[in-house]
This record gives sequence, C-alpha cells and structure tokens, in this order.
Amino acid sequence: MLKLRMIQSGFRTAWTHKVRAIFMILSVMIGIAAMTIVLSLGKGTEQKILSQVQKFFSARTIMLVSGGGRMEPNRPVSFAGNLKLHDVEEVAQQLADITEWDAILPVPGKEAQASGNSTPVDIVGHTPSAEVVHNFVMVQGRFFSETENRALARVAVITPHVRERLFGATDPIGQMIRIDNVPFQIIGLIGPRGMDPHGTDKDNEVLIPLNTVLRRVANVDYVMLAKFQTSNEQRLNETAERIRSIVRERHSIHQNEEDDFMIITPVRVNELIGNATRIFNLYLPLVAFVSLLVGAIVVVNLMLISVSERVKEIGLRKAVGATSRDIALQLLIEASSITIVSGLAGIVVGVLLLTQIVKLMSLPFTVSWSAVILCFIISALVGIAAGYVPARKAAGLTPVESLR
Amino acid sequence: MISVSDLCKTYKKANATPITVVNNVSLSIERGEFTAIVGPSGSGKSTLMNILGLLDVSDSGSYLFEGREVSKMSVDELAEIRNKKIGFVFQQFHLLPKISAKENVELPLIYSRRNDISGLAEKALSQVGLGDRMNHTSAELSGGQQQRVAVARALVNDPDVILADEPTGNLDSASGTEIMDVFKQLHSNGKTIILITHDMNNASYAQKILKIVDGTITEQNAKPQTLNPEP
Repeated sequence: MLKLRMIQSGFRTAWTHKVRAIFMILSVMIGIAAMTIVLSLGKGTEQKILSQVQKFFSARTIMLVSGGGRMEPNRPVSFAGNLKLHDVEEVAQQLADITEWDAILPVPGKEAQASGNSTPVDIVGHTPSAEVVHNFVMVQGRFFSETENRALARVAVITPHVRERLFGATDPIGQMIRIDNVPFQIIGLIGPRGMDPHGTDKDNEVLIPLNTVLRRVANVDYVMLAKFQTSNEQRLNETAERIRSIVRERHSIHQNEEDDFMIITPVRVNELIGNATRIFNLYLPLVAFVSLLVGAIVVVNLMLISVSERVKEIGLRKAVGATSRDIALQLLIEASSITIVSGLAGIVVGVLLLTQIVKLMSLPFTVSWSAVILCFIISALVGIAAGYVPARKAAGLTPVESLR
Repeated sequence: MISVSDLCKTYKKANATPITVVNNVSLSIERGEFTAIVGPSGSGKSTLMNILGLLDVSDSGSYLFEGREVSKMSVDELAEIRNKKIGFVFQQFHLLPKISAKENVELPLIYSRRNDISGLAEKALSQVGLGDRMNHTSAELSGGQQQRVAVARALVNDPDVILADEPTGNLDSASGTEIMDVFKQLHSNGKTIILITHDMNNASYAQKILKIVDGTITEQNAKPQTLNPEP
C-alpha cells in the first residue's frame, strides 16, 4: 500500500516538470532507437548474406580452390593454374566420404553468337555431376552426361539471361550457339541463380562439359576450383584435412611450405561472414552504445539538477515523515519511470525507422528481439543509475538543512 | 506530552566563534495546551521549534516526547513520529508548486503506514474552508488560502501536536487573522498547538506564552484563556 502510493507519487512528480522530462526522454530514446536499429540491421544483413551464401554452400560442402593465400570478401581469387583435374579426381577416389564432386574452370568474357545476335558471356566448364552438386534446376532440356564429357562433346547448357539475349521468346533447345567460332548445341536451360557472393552474374553463364572446355576452349589441364559434397557432416574437418594432405603430397609441398591451394569449409565461410558483418554487429552497436551512454549522463545530470532544485521539496517531504529510504526510492521511481518510457519510445521509434531503412537497403525485415530486450534492460539500468546518484545526495540531507 | 530540560544547541562555523542558539532551555507542554513561543528574530525560537518538531537534534539536554527520550530514537523513528504525531505549518508555506491543493495535503499520507487514506485530504481541506479549491495549484490560490492548504496538510494525519513557525509572517492581517482563527478552532477541538511568533497579538491566542531571548527562556507566563481577543 505504502509502496504503491510512493510509486504513484514518483510518477506524478516525474511528469510535473514536463520540459525536463521531455529532454530526459529524448536523450535516452535516441540512444535506444539507434541501438535497436543497428542491432536489427546487423541481424538482417547477416541473414541476407547467409541466405545468399547458403545457395552456394551447404553445411556438407568443402571447396578446394587453386592458389594459396587468404580469401578476402569481394576480392577475386587469383589462381595459379596448378590445381589439376587429376588432383581433384584423386581426392574424390581416395575419400569414401565424398559422394559427389564437381571441378570447375570458368573462362570469363567470351562472345557468344546465335541466330544473328551476339552477347558477352562467361563460359564455365563443369563435370556432369554439377547438376547434383549445385542443385541446378532444369527449366528445359537436360544437363550433359558423362559420355558427352568424355567424348568432348560440343554441347551447352544456357542460363536465363543468355537465353533472353540470344533467343528472345523462341525455343533455344536444339539450336546452335557459336563461341570463338566453335559451334555448340544447346541441350538445356537452367533456372535463375542470381549473383554469387563475389558479384558475378550466374545467369550470364554458358555451361559446357569440363573436358570440352579444357581441350577445345581454354586448352589447359587445370581447373580453378572443385566442390565436394560429403556424406558425413561430423567428419567434415577431418575430410578437409585429408584433402589437404592428398593435394599437398601430389603438389610435393614440403612440411614448412605453405599450401598452394585453399580449402574452404562451412566453418571458414561463417568466419568470413562474421568478418563482413562485424561492422554491424560490433562497431556500429559500439557507436550506438556511446550515444546511449551520453543519454544516460544527461539523465543523471538532469536528475542531479532536479535534486538541487528540489532540496526544499525533499526537506518538506522529510518533515512530513518521509525517511531517507522513501526519498531515495521515490527518486529512483521518478528516474526509472522516465527512462523506461524513453526505452519503450526508443524501441517503437527504432522499429518504425527500421521498417523504412530495410526497404531502402532491400534487406529482410528482422527485429533483433534480444537487442530490444537488451535495450529495455539498459534503459532501466540507466534509470536506476540516474536515480541512485541523486538519491544518495538527497538522502543525506537533514530536513532542517533542506528547508532553510 | 513534551518535556524538555537543559536543552542546548550550538552552531559552529569555520573561522568563527561558535554561536549558542538555544541555551539551557527547559519547558514542558501538556496535551491540549496552546503555547506561544515569542521572541525577537535571532532569539533562537525557530531552532527551538525545529528541535521540538524533531527536524533537528540538540547538542545536549534531554527531550522527552510522550515520555520517550528523543536522542535515543533512530532517524526512521523520528520520521515516523513527525508523520503520525506532528503537523508543521511554516512561514513560507512550503507547498509544492506544480501539484494541486489536494495532492499537497496528501503528501504526509504518502509516507504514512495507514492503509485507508481515502477522503482524508478532502476532509482536512473542508476543515480549513477550502473544500471548493481542492484541485487548484498553489499559483491559483491567495497567500491566506495557501497557508490554509498548509494547515490542512498539517492536519491530515490527525497529529497530536501542531507546530506553527510564524504562520502569519507572510500574510496580510486579514488572512493572518483567518489562520489564527483556524488554530483557535483546532485548539478547541483538542489539538496541542505550539506557535512560534514575534507578534504579541498572535501570541495572545495562546494559553501560555514563553518568551525567549538569546536562546534562553526568560519568562513563562501562563495566562487565562479569557484574555484571548474575540475575532
């Protein structure tokens, strides 16, 4: 009963000084809104990147990439030409965990011609099992077979943009496409795949059997990368290590020499995503937190001023029977009622702004509820801190000193 | 009810000689008595009232409030006695400016351990003739009305003692008379009233007048009720 009356009274007095209350609310609200927005954006960005990457990289995938060094986001991997198709075949043969594999050699920037039209395309050599490894969706026709690969057949599977630019509305299956004046017969069309994480348009590719690319288009014996699907997720790291040792041995790399290739596991991919989203998940929240801290200092300061202004009021309250504890509790209620209202307002404003920002950034709308709860707790803590400091000051005053 | 003996209070300031504001004061006040403490400004009467009202503590001497030694009470016990048993009326009213008359009167109730407090503030305000002004803030009330709100606040917890420190000091004579009449009324209802004043006119409302000069009580003059001037 007594506590309830004090809470009511604390609320009442908090709102009698409207201008001060409004400034306190604004200062905390801005910080909380910033925190909500930044943390939610971070989560949204991470989700977007993850969903993009998962299209190319499942939890059971290991990639073997030619060329050593560290892969950085958004930088094309330089490849040394020393990862031979035989290396990949040997790995796949030796490791029972590997169920499917694809070796890839892209030849970018070729000119493709068909039915009087011409367009720049990226030629990509794949093994026939690529259809399974990459989950290609055949819209029309079929993917090439092992027989065609072995026979260096001049067949091609095209992608939506290529089809659009060369054939328009006409049926491309069975038509001929010329690349460097070599004719290929179109046997299939795969569905759209969008951009890969490096920003390459996967829908502007012409897919050709790997052996055909090696002998007839590029005239090389190496591939750029291989993608292995394994049957055992638990043993993934072990499998990756075995791939490493097989390739190192085949490349005659000494113990103290670095790899001339790179192995990418889902763990490594997540690390790279973590690096990319660190700005959202660490640095920006830090900035938002500083703004919240400034808000907290403003509230503490205003509460201190409020106590200095209200020494007489506190003296009077003590004269009519308030104990130091009562006064402290009341200031605490005053400050926390304001910061909790600020916190809620900040969350609402933050979420409202977020709905607009995600539209502009074409991100999925995600509210990080853990961030919202965190913000709420922070605002309550700010209130307690903002009440505690002046409460200690006020509680120490004797009634006769304060009334004078 | 109140029994004080050899009470002393000395203020020490840095680089100044200590000033003894209350010097060996002994007095006793019975329940239901209307006592006036008169003296010129600086005579120590306000300090005496603060000590009697448990707002301040003496340096030495003994103070029995309802037979209990005040110096042995904790600050929380003192706060509880101020809340339950003492009502204060100050020269400067000390009303909170932004809230209504009713909310001002309710202040002591907020800190009271009583459970049922509904209607008490309204009753106290009606008692001082402000039943129709409950929702006005102090800015909307005259000085006399503000002091009556303060009296209502002093009354709301039904205390045994009302301590008034120059209650008419900031009022014109008509409002002052109104307030004094309220005290007279309260006294006839059985309240113990201690009035601090330098105005002999106001003091004449009391049954007993204590004169204080330089912190010492020089005269204890019990006088008959009949000497009160009629309003």
